[in-house]
Formats: sequence, structure tokens, C-alpha cells
Amino acid sequence: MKNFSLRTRLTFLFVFIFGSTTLLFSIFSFYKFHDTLLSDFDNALYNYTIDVSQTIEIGVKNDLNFPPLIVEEGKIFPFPSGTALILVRHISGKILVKNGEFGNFNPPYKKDIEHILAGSEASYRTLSNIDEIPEAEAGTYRLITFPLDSESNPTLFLQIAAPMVSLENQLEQLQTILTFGLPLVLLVAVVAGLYFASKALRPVQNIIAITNRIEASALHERIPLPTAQDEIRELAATLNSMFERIEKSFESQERFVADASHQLLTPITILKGEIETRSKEFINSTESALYKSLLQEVDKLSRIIKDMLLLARIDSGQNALQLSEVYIDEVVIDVISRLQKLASHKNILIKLDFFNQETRSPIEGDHDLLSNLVANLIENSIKYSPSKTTIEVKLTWDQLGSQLTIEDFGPGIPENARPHIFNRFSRADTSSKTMGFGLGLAIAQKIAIIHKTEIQILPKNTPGTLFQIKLIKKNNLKT
Amino acid sequence: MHDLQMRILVIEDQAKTAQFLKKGLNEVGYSVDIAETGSAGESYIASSEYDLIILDVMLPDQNGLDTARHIRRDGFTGPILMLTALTTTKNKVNGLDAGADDYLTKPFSFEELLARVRALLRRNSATNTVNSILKYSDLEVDLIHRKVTREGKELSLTAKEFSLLEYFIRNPERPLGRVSIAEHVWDIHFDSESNVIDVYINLLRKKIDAPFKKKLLQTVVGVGYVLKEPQNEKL
Repeated sequence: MKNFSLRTRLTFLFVFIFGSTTLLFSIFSFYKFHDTLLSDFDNALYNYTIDVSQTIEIGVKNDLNFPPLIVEEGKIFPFPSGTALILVRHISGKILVKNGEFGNFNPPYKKDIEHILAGSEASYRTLSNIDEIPEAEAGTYRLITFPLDSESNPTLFLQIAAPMVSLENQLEQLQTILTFGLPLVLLVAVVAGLYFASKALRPVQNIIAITNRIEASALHERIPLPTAQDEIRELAATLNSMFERIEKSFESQERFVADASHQLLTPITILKGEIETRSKEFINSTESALYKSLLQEVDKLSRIIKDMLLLARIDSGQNALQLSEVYIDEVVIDVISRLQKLASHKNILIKLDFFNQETRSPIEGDHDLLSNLVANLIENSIKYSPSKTTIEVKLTWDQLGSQLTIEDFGPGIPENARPHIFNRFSRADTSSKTMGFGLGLAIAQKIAIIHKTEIQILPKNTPGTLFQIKLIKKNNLKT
Repeated sequence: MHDLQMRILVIEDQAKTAQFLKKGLNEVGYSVDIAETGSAGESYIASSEYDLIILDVMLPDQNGLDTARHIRRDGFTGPILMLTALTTTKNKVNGLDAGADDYLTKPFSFEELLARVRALLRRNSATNTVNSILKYSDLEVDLIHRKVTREGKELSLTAKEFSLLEYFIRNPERPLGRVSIAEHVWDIHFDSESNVIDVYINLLRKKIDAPFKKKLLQTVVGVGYVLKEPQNEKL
């Protein structure tokens, strides 16, 4: 149940309550109706029996005169006239007279006689085991047993079995109505339940849709407040004030990054510029070497600041993204062309191959961040590759998007270091021989995560590292 | 081209930054003026001619983006190079929208600044003198607006596809090898086994040739590709 939407659950509950009530009510009505019909039938049968008993004449020696039945005209009986089976039985069980097509049918009598001897006016019972009656008129017969000679001490009993045709018909009709009507009622309940649940939940669904949109892109948007002073309005107002706070903190975060960028990078720009212009004045001297080393440190410093500011920006999440359609192959080519110089210093060849380009399609992402991600991965591979090796970059498209792998043939990342390499300020090589500050891969992974994917390190047979990242096409992204 | 020295205006409030920019640019032969505020910069531009403006985004009196807008509004048509400490695309896009031609993020190496300045000045003089629309057969490539049309229909190309087509249309009817395409178009040295060039040729063919009867981009077996009218029309 927990996995269904609130709407479905409400509908289910509604149908359950409504349906079970209706069902119980129907069953109750059915039996009530049945009882009423039966008691009517019994009354009619009783009257008929009285009529019949009055036509029977009993002689002194208990011999019976059983003239043809004359039923008073105008009386309506709940069974076709002439179909009743009539007999007179002695208290011993012996049948004295019969009228009607009994066949082998011998109606039961013992309990009924006991019943009457105990003081009842008449005894009734329903017979459904009537196979012996030839050409039975109905599926069930009602049998009445009635004292014929004396009420206080009877010895002769009149038994009449009447087919319950009309009662059966009426019950059948009611049953038909119920078997077709009940599902119809339930169907109406389902539709009505769904309708009312949707109607009740529509404002909530609206809020969800708007909230999603606000979260994804437009922080300045607000949920329109409904006019009714209800819980929905309260919810909307609460969410709005939350968005207000998020927007404010996001703005201050952005402002901080902007201010920090400017404040930190301006002195570095000056430092770098001064050193660069000054270093030209000293050629081939120790001073020139000093300036070169100073410049390297300034570059390192600026790289760290930029990386940390970038991390701060990415940490603020989805809102930091400037989404556009990105062809990842073009990003990869740009990055490789930028890193070509770095690679050729170490005589490293970067091999690039595309696969399955028939399914090439753009993805939705932040162009700069994605390019940063790819650059960080390839830079990492260059950093840890020995000279004169190759780095293989492969881009494979498929129906879902694309998959980028970057493989180097360096020493690789030791098994125990793998879980940590995407953390800030960690790296595989603990000696400080290799340059790098451990932010690159952390940044790359963060970028991957806000693009709803992940960088993975795949196992490989040769030494080295194999990075893989899958980028999902826009319309396959589930938000 | 100008006989005179190229004149550059640096609008930058940080005196030290401005000083080393001036010093460095002077050394390679440009004449440099410095304005410390946006409004000062605007009045410099109003009173004399500049070939290029280097503009800092963070100024004491106004946002550099506004300064750029004002300069454009006042009729300056030369290139504007923005200096910014911010690196996001949004900031870059804002800068370009405000009328800048290029941007450089701080801290930059002076060599890079010089390269950008040279490129902007060259581009500016090229736009004025050279026809920026190249044609071959019924194919037209507008290098400034980066638009491609064939038989009057505009075709939408990605950045890489455009650069590739530009290289071909600059060298019509000349067979071009894969390695030379990679190096000229994208400044990359590919392994000769790589299929990257073929992939882009196919993507480009799909856009510029597939919808048309005449196939202009042809394979030269053993060499590479050539942009050429088909020789014998098949009937």
C-alpha cells in the first residue's frame, strides 16, 4: 500500500468502505425480502389449506370424502392453481387420500406432526429435494402440515406441497439486479473515488509541480496562493517562505564566490603580471630562475583558489548549473586540444576514438563544468602516466546517451586508495613528487553527481587507470 | 591598416594591474592610455580614437558590463576585451551580451593577453577589408555570423562541424588529409588510426550533402577528403 500514490490509496479506501457497506446492505435486504416473501407465501398457503380442509368431509369412521377441489374464484395464490399436491395422512403415517401428480414423492411428516402435537397451528417446511415429483413446477416446494380433524388432539393431517414459483421468480429477479447492479455501483464508486481524490489532491499536485520547477531552475518563482483559507494555502505559504530563505542564501553564496574571486584573484593577477614583466629583464641569470619558480607558485596558488571557488559553486547544487545542449564529443576535442601541450611535454600520445556515432545526440548539461570534468580526468591520467605512453579516450554513444572512458597505462591507483581518490585533498601518490592538490578528481566527481551520473574506476587487466562516465540523454533523465 | 601605432585604452581601477598592462603593451609597440573608472573611460573614448579597449568587470563607480553597454551605445565599434575574475558561463555570456568581443579570466598570463589582443585587432581589420562570406558551388559560409546556407536554405551546424567546413571552404578542390585536418581545425595531433575525423566528416555530410542532390564532400582514397563539384553527372 505504501508504494501507491495518495490518490490511489484514498480511492481504494473509499471503494472499500462504500463497496462493503453496499454489499452488506444488499445481503441484508435480500434476506429480509426473502423472509417477507416466504411469510406472505405461507399465509397464502395457510388460507388455501383452510379452504381445502373445509371441502373435506370426514365420516364417522374416519372415512374421508375428497371431492374435486373447488377453489373459490377471485382468490390469488402465489402458485399456479391445480399444481398443489394435497394428501391426508393418518397420525401413524399412512396416507389416506392423495390428490395431484405425486409420483414417488412421499412428503416428510414426522417432525411436522410432532410440531403440531406440541401446539402449533400448522407446520411449514421448504423442500428442495423433490426429484421424485414428476414434472415439478419449481425448484422448491413449500410443505404445510395442518391438523384436519381436531385442533387439540388431531389424528388426521392435511399436507399440501405448493411449488414456490412466484417466490423463486421474485428472488431470481432481485438476484439478477444485485449481480449486475453491485459491480456497477462499485465501478461508480471507483470513478467517483478517483475523481474526488484527484480533485482534493489537485492543489497539492500543483504545488509539487511548481516546487519541482522552482527547485530546478527559477528560484525567484513562488507558488501562487490559493484563495481558500485552507491547509493547502498554509502549505503553499510555508513553502514560499522556505524558497525565500533558500533564494537569499543562494544569492549570498553567489555573492561570496564573486567577491572572493575578485578579492583573491586580483592580487594574484598583479603578482603574476609584475613577475612576468620583470622576469623579461633578466635573461639567463639566477634571478630569471627565481622569477620562474615564483611564477610557478603563483600559478599553483591561483589554480587552488579557482578550484576551491569552483567547488563552492558546485556545492550549491543544481542551481549553479547553466544548462544547455552539449555535444560531449566537442567538449572532449576542445579539452584534448588544450591539454595537448601538457601531454607532449611528457611525450604522451592521446588517442581518441568515437563509436556508434549514428546515435550521436546532445546531452543537457553545463558546458563549462563538463569540460572541467573531462579535463580533470585527462589531466589526472597525464599526471600519472610515464613518458612515451598513450592515453586512450573512447566515446561510445547508445540509445540512452553516451559513455566516455579514459584509460592510461601508468602505475594505476592502488586498491586501498580507490575509495578515497574522489575526496578533497587526497591522491594516490603520497610522495609529493607529482604535482597536484587533490581537488581535480573531487571536482570532477561533484560535477558528475550534479549531472546525475558518477565517475567510476573500472577494473582492467593491464596496469593503469580506467575511468568511465555515463552521460544520460536529456529525455532519458528522470527528475 | 593604420600607419600609426595601435592605440589601446585600459579601463582598470587597480593601479598595479593597469601599470603592468601598460608596461607590457608598450613594450610590444602599442600606445596605452589608462582610465581608473568607468566614467573616465567613457570620456576618454569620447575624446579620442582607440583601436581596442581592455575593460575590467569590477570598477569602483560602475559595473564593467554597464560601461561596455555605454561604450557601444556611444558608437564605439572596435573590439572590447573584458577582464573578469569570474569564470562561469553566465558571466561570460553576460559580458558578450553587453558588447564585449572576448573575455579573459584573472589571473591571466601576459602572453595570452597579447595573443587575444592581436587576434581581436586582426579580426577587426579582417572584417573591414576581407569578404567574410565564402562561397563554393551553391554553398555559402558566413564566417562572422557563423551561418551556413545551401540553395538558400540555412543549415544548423555545431561549432566543430562549422570549423571543419570552414577549413574545406577555405581550401576548395584541394584534397585534405586526416592529420592535417585535425591539426588545422582543432589543433590536435591524432593517432592516424583514430576515426574522429571520419566521424565528423560523416556528420557534416549528413547536414550539408545528404539533403541535396549534388554531393560536394568527397572521399579521396588513401588521402582524405576534398570539397569539390562531382565530376561526371550520373544520368
